[in-house]
Amino acid sequence: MGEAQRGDAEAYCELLDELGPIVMKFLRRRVRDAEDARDLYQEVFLSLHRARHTYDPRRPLEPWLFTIARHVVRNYARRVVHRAREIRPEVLPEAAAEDAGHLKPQLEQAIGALSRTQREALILLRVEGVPIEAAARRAGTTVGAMRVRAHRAFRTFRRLL
Amino acid sequence: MMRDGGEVPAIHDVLVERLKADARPVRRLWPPTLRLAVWVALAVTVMATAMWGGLRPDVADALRRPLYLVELAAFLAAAVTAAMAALLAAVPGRARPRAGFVAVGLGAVAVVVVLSEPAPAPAIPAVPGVQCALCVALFGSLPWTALFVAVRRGVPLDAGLAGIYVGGAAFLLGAAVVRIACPVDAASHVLGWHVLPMVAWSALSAVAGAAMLPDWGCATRSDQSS
Repeated sequence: MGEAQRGDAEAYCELLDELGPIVMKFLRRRVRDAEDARDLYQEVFLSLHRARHTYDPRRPLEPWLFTIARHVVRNYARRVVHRAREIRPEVLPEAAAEDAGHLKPQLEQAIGALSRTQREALILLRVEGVPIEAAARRAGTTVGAMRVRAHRAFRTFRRLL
Repeated sequence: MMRDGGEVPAIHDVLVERLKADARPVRRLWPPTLRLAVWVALAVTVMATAMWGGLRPDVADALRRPLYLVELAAFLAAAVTAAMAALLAAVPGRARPRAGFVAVGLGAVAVVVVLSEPAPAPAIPAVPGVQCALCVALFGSLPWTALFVAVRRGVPLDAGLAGIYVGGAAFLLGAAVVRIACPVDAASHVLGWHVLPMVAWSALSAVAGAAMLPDWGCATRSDQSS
């Protein structure tokens, strides 16, 4: 990491390659949803990158790394709780809910079957009508990833309704 | 995707390439002890400036009272401990909640001493309390700014808590300086116009910390928006 702090891109690359499996193992032990674990993996690496100036090479790397990873997971847990409170079938537009009145139990079941990220994609794109670029920005991901999430969400919906 | 050490997600290579492309040299943070030493030097300068501006008229008598000295020492030790806690809180893996508890404990010792010390008749009877409260903020403002900037340079994962530490350090120092300048020893005055404002300014500092320190809760978001 000391070399990476001095701007040695190759050393940094090697370090990140070494850390990858360690971070993934850490996340898989704490996050049940594999897709969420992959998202958090990105977050951990981006946080680590932004915080690299705070690492003291004379000290062991693990406490520094795991504190960042733990923080990312803790925030994820907070977001999950927050979204679980926030995202309910009742937030669907009234007209749509009326149209789908007889489908309400299936709707609830379908929404419940979505992962957090898929639910977020569905709400942003279909309920709030946010353009995909803005939705991706809000969800902290790329447009491509947002498309994939939305596609998976719609596929689950089609299957269940 | 499997690697030597185990599984990594498919995005790993793209991610590493992206981070590698941004792997410019960074200025490493100084060790917390060194940063603390710089802050203490600034704190001493502020104290010296305040003393040069005016001491309580009976300062020689006050400095002969052991309880007064214990109280001052407790305020200053609490300030330094809180500053250390703030600087440690800005380095992942180094945060020490115990340092925060020690700072609170030392502050409590100072308060207990204030309460137990018999107040001699003040040399100057009427000192407006508001003036003391404002002086706590005034003398604490420069150390607060310096410490806040120092913490901001790091990675305060709990911004609110870091803000409390910063405020506690700076305004405990402010309270200590005011204690040297203010001739009123009555417990009600010290608690109401020195200690309480110190607590209030620290609470405001927590709000400032939460609002102005970088949000480390959503790295992806902030990274992409920048």
